[in-house]
Amino acid sequence: MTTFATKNEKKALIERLNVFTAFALGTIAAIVVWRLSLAFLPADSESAPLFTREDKITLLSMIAWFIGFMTGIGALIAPFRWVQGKDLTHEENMFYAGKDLGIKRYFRYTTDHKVVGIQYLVITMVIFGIGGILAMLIRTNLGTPEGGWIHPQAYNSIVGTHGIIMIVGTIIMVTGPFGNYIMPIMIGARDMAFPRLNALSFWLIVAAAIPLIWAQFIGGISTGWSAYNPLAGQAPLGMNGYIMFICIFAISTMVAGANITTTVVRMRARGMTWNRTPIFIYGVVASVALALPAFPVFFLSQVMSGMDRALGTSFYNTALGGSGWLYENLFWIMGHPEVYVILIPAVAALMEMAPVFTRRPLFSFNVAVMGIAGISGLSVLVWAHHMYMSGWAPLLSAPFMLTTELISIPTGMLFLVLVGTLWRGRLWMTVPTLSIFALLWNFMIGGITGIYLSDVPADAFLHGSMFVTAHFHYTLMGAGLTGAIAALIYWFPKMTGKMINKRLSWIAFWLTQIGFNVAFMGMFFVGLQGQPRRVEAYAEIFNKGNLITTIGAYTIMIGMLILLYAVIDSWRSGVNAPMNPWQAKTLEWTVANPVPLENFEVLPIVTSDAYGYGKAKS
Amino acid sequence: MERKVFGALGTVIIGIAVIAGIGTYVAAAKNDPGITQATPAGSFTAEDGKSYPQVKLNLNVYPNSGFGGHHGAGGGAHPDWVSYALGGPNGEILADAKSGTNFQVPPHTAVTITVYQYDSGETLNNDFFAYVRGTVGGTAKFVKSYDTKAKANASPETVITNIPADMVGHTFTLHGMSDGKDQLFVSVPLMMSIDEEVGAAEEGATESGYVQNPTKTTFTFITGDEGEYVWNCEFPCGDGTIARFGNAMSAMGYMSGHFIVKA
Repeated sequence: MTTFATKNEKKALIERLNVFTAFALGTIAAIVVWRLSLAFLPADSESAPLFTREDKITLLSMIAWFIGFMTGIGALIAPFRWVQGKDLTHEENMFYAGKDLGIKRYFRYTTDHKVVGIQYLVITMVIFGIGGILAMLIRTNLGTPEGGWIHPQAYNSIVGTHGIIMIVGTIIMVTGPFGNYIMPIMIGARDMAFPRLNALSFWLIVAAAIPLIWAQFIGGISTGWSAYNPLAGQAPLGMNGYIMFICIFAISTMVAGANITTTVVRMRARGMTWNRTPIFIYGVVASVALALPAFPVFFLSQVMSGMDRALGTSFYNTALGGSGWLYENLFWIMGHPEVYVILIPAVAALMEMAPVFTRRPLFSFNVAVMGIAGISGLSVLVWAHHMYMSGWAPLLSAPFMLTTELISIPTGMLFLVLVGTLWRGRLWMTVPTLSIFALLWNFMIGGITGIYLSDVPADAFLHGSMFVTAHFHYTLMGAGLTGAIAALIYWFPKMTGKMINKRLSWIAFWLTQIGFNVAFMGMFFVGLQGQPRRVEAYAEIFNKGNLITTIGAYTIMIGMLILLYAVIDSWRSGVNAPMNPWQAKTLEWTVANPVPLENFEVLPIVTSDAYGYGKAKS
Repeated sequence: MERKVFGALGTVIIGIAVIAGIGTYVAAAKNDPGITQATPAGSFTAEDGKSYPQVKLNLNVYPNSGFGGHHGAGGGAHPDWVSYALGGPNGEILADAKSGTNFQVPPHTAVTITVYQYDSGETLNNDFFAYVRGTVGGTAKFVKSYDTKAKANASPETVITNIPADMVGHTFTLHGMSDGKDQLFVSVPLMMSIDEEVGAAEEGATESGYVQNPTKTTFTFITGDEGEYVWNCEFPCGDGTIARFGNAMSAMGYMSGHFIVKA
């Protein structure tokens, strides 16, 4: 049994480990393995297809970093005890839960879901900050046709890094902060089903970030976010950073998915039947349930990519019997469900808010659930619409076109639910309310342009163009991020105990939405003119649209920075929030601010659904 | 409220400063080797009797980057990659050449390029590039063996329109699409040096590590209006990569660069 140190006493190991020891141990491990690999790894034979020795050294060093970091943060203490046939003591579990640790608990392997939720919120903001900086570098370089501000190879790497980092940011932006902080309280649970896995899922993301940063200094990620093979097989050593990043992130997503699913299935409060379970919970569960099969495939695709580079296998090398199409299939089997991993929880969060700010029940709860289920089911059957022009299985284009276009139906159901809830409601005009309208507008444009892209003849013309880039920004950013920001403002009082500054958040909302529509309408325009994606310079005829897009991007940047200030300033010195500032009816608003360690003194019993604001008028 | 306005404004300014700082760093880190101006060389009279100002460039192609030059001592980050570089007027190896593979020439000018080819070769993927294209008269002058010590041709100079596709060392291919209006496509095959001689030279048989007698190819083309082009080698020489179009073939400063037509 561990005895915890009082002042001046020697600290137990569990007390010593934190993010600083993690970084130190990870760095030392990486350097040691790097030096050993340099000294002992034999040179490649003449017939080695790629620069495999360097790849081996890089990958081994990154794996060492990962193991060192996870050891240094304390992730291995409990498994080590388990191997010894022991378990953590009650005191140790309380220490892991962050009891009485104050701000230090945010820098440790803390298991309390609320700490993990805040950690996710901060890292999501950091990810968006880095991705946003990269976006501004891209747009600045594209401000003039000749480009040239940034070296083309650095530009390629910036585009690839921006892509993958923003995808990861959008994947975690709702299920991370709000799925962890809010969801357990919303279902009436004291914590997640597997608190240690919860901490693990977060710290894996931190561990994953370093190889991605590392990659920038060893050749970058020159392939775009999709890292198609055999292009990735020929890319510089930085590609190994991408591979490690994805592998670690995929483990994090799998762990989080299993944890959230189990929590919702097993730990809902007494009386919270599926019909009384808030729609946000359905969104979160659908998201992680989709991620559960998708991310192991992504993980596998990158393991094979790493083997092709470091061990000379040829999964994707056509010259040696492999297939680039194999990679494309594996990638998009993850890649398209992933779109809905991002979108569903964001839309569900807005569906959760719609009754609160219209004071009406959710319009047709069952249709909302069917819509989420329908999208989830169909989303695993549409991946090859990304490959119409690849030459793989042309006969399958028509079936994939059909399944893709069918997905409009359940998506339409979610639109119907939102519009039906707003219809004749007494609108309380907050930023979340405005966000519902913004989502309807942006998602409509993203959705309709998606129908064109799902159509094989139209896609033959549009694929690989800026039109595609504008389309997915309308869905992932215009719909997804809009929902996530609304969720932040809605749950900010519960997570921080403060009200977010209303005026600044309004200014940020309008600047962001106006800037967004200016930027990506400009991008649609140049896409239709024929400008390809991922180019560092372009022909003069695309100048006007690109300039408009760059102006829009700068407007978004100003809006986002004002929002960032509003969050930081309100968190530090905002007005104290009442327990239930929105007069909402879900369980998270029944607990005090700040939320106590185990949420509820007595677990609640649910006797009705959460939308009893009155009857919907049809 | 005033504090919040200043706070928000400050955040925006700090954000822009961070982006500008990172952007400036990334832009500076591109380590652009600079641009070589072609040397004026009098005038040139075309077959139609029209006279143009003339400029010259002397280039060498090496089997590795050990020559120093713009890759630095020891060949820089990739000493085993093949590379173009500036050369002396008689094919001399310039270990102190600071600029790389970006060239600038004036518009409406005759550009004469001489390439000394120190590398061996194999077979092209596409015979198209075995032909001389886009030069004055559609030809190039070729010397199979140029003695860099004696500074004289060791074999007779011939006029060529093509070379055998299985004897190509590299190509100099200036791609037609520019960022301006004028199209300018030039492609000239560069004959290989003899395999055994290249191998022996690299193993220390010569002082410099390169053959004494490279092949020499000279060609002239006329530039149009201002524009910026990309040129590269079309022989698949990026060893160690699938299809051999990676490594040196996909990195500016080795087998590709910019060709700027500007007054």
